[in-house]
Amino acid sequence: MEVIVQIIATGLTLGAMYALAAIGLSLVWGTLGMLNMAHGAMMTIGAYLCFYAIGMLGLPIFLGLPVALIGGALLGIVIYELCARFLIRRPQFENTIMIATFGIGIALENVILKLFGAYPTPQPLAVTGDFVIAGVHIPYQNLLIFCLALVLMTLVAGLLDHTRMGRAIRATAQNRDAAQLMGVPVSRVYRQVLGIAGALAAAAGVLISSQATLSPSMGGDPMLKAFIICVVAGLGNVRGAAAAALVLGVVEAAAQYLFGVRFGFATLLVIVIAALIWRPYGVFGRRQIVRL
Amino acid sequence: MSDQALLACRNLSGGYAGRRVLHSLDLTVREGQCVVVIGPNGHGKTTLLRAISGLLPDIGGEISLAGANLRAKSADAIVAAGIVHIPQGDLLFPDMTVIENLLMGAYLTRDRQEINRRLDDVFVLLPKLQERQKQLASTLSGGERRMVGIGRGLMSGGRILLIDEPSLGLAPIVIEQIYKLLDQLRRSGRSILLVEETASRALPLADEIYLLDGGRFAWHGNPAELASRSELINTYLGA
Repeated sequence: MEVIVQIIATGLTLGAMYALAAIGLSLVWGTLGMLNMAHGAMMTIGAYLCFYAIGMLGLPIFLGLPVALIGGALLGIVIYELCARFLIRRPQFENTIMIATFGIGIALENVILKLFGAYPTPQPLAVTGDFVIAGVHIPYQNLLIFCLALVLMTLVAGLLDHTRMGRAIRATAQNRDAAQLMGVPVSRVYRQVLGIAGALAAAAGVLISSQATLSPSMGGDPMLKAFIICVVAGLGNVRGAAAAALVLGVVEAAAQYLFGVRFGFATLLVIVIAALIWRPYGVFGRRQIVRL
Repeated sequence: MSDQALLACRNLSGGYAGRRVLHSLDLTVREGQCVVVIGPNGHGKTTLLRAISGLLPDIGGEISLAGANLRAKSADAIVAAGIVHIPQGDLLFPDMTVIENLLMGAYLTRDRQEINRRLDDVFVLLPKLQERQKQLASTLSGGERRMVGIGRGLMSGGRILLIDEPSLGLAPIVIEQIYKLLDQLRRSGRSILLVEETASRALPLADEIYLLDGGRFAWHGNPAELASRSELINTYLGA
């Protein structure tokens, strides 16, 4: 029983962090058809912004996350304005934007390296202490991560389902031409989506670094996992990505406990291969039927 | 019906990826008029509507609505100006419900009361949509999807409807329903630009007819003039 509680607690914490990372990636893919390879670097920037705000500027601890969210959103908008906006109407957008954002990601990592150095640093946004469930000590930090992720995911779901902006985003994701014919300014929608994804990536970066440490290359591993989650869920399926992240978080925690830490990521890779063989369009994805 | 030109295209040309599809087209739709463009498949009917509604990036010539120049405006600005395009094959939002699709039609309207009034009007005209309002658009039949497409266009409250082949791929009984609806819209004074491949259903609605051939208007006039031109009827209308 204790083992199960431990696995679930660890898994849900991991899953919540992955979900935030995956939702942003999925939202951008679903709306723009863009695989944002700078997503990991955006997580890193968010984590360092929080660190800078609390640790270096001396702002109160509760302002760390909002600073990261705003910074991440602005970074997303800048990536759209300086790069995606010019490539989106050109041929081979899916390929060119992948290469361009890969370059942006490397540049951003190197800026962080230059500004903060290569040494791992602790994230000041952390709480101490724990509570006990079924004899298992669960750190308050895990609870904080899970609750913050849940609040952000609920806000995104509410925004997508119940606001005019959300309806415009969903419409653009489902059919860009039709959305334009309804009067939706799709450029504005793209800017908003990259802003939301940037904010979510920054939040994911803050939460991930609060469990581990800050380092310029910290975004690479969670971005890869977020990508795996998006592929398993079905690229572009935001709700599916959130659900898959929580499940895969628990699976990874179980694999780490049962087979050893180094088998956690390998297990995720086996799952993605199996999922792609079973449903190439993703577990929650929809089969694309092309009428010839 | 007014003599004032509502929609006017002058010397309109355009195409895709360097291939010109439309060649110097002149077209006028007056307030309250139903103008029908007839032409075979692949001769530029859909391209014409896409050019007018701003979906074609590279066009030449002039497009104006009630005298206001729409050339080089974005698609959303053209919708805001009052041009409503009901595209071929519906282009619905498949993962949205019928009501969400209809509300997307009124995206540019922020007045809640006005939106509800338009929704009531659509439900009076298309009562089946009220029954199906909670159903996902992807689960509707072809005819129902076409009804949602038209209802969504009506929700926008625009000044002119551009309707692209409303009968395409539908059963004859559904086509009859759709054309009954279009006739109702025409009688209510709506300005309509309708493009169709098959003339038999569309011509009775027409105040003015344009025959499109290879991206050029081969002829235009009113139905009475067309009736006296047997060579045109034989060549373009297949009768």
